[in-house]
Amino acid sequence: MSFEPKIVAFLCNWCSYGAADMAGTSRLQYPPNIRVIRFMCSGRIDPNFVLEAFLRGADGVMMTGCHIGDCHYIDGNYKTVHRYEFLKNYLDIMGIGADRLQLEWCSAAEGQKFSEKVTEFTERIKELGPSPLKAGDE
Amino acid sequence: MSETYWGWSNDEDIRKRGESGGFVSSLVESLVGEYDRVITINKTGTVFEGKVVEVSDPSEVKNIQGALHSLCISMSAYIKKGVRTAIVLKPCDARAVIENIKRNHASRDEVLLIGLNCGGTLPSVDTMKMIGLEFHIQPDEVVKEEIDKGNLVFITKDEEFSKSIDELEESGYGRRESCRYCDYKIPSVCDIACGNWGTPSGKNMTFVEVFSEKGAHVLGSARERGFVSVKEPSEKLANIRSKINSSMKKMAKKWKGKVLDSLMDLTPEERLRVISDTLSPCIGCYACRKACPVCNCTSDCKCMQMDPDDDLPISQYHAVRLLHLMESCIGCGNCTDVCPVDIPLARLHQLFARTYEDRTGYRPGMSVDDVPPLSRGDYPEGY
Repeated sequence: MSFEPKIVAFLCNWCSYGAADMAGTSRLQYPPNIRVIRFMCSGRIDPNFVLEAFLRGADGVMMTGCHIGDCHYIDGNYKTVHRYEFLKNYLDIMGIGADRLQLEWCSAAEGQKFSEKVTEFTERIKELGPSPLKAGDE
Repeated sequence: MSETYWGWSNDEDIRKRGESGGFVSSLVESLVGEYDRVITINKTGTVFEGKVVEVSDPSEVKNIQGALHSLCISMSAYIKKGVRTAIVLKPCDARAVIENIKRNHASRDEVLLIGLNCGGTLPSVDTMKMIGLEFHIQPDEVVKEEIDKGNLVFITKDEEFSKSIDELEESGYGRRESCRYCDYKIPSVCDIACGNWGTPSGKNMTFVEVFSEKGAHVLGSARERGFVSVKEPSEKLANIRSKINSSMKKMAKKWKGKVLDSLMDLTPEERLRVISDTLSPCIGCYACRKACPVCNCTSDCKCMQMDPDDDLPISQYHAVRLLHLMESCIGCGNCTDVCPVDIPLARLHQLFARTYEDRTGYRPGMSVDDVPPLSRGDYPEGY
């Protein structure tokens, strides 16, 4: 059987969740590999959540939020960026791989972009293969 | 700012007893009464044992011991908010204090940091074992130990034993691992840094470097009241001091390459395997969390609610600690010291922290104005 990655997607309530909604109502197709978790703001994504996702078997994690300057809470997504940069370094040193984490900005009108990004990311994780944290599990 | 002096104690007795002219002892004496708490270390028994003391009576200063290399006590725990504290500490402790101040556990104005130059510390138990094997002497026979020109020197009542640190470290003894690759030898974050590098031999003096106005004020007041004397150091010996510092740093770089960078040279999969294998003997005692000077969530610490022995590939407890310490590990090595199953935790934490430092230039514990990466909320360029 071909490898179907498990991807956890953290979506912010105001923009990216709206984008996912838009993708749905517009009947846009994207791979069913993402598991959506809704946050009030991408700034609420504690690095621990990303870590736990990986530790509990995610092959990739997507963080999405409003574009810079459009955050519902004004500067919540500034924090997201700093955490994302930090986490990338961490995942790289740990050996999980920085490629398995992705940050995207999707406004509520960008259903098209959301479905494209999810497709792209799923393809990338398929290429990378299962998370090294799961090695020896099967 | 930075001013350099040679200093010594005006008290003949302290000057004779003290390791390098008793400067630090007399400076501490001058601070009693000026600060709410004055904290330093006393020897108890052999040179391998000691305890942290609060000096409240100037006469107690006579018991203060100079550099006890085999004593690795974390001093930063003695800083409290709202208490004016003067404390004598080594460079890594000073960095821990700075990290604590950043996280609002104290205020920089309230603490006076008297730093000691540090070429590294020794693990006490291993060192006691080592002197028995190498020199055939008992630990309680040693009256003095010092690190001199790359040699470890032990002095008993009638004899002197010395051996090259390099040689000892090749055979697994010598300094603690975290000290080998530590490259912060002169504590420039302190108000005053003292050490014996760059002092004229046989003259019983301390090389003093003043880094802040507060330090200059304290030194000035101690001189005025007749506790210590200072004079300009000779340029030649000041240069020797910086040469010792840079050769120490070079040695640290070599060790970093050997211990840490070699791990970064592995493939990601191999490195992940090494990390998870290294952590696998963990018995979940939380000692590393409790001994860590920069781990400072207080009552609502989430790590303490996590099970270090969970069934995840790397326990969430360790994964989170590795993450948080990547921005704050100052490399004191306490976690390795206290681990009952001898996991080289400091090596892992330093692997993350030092690699992150190499990539981004962020170095914890160097300035109270540096914002820790996970606490940043400023406008991100390029997004």
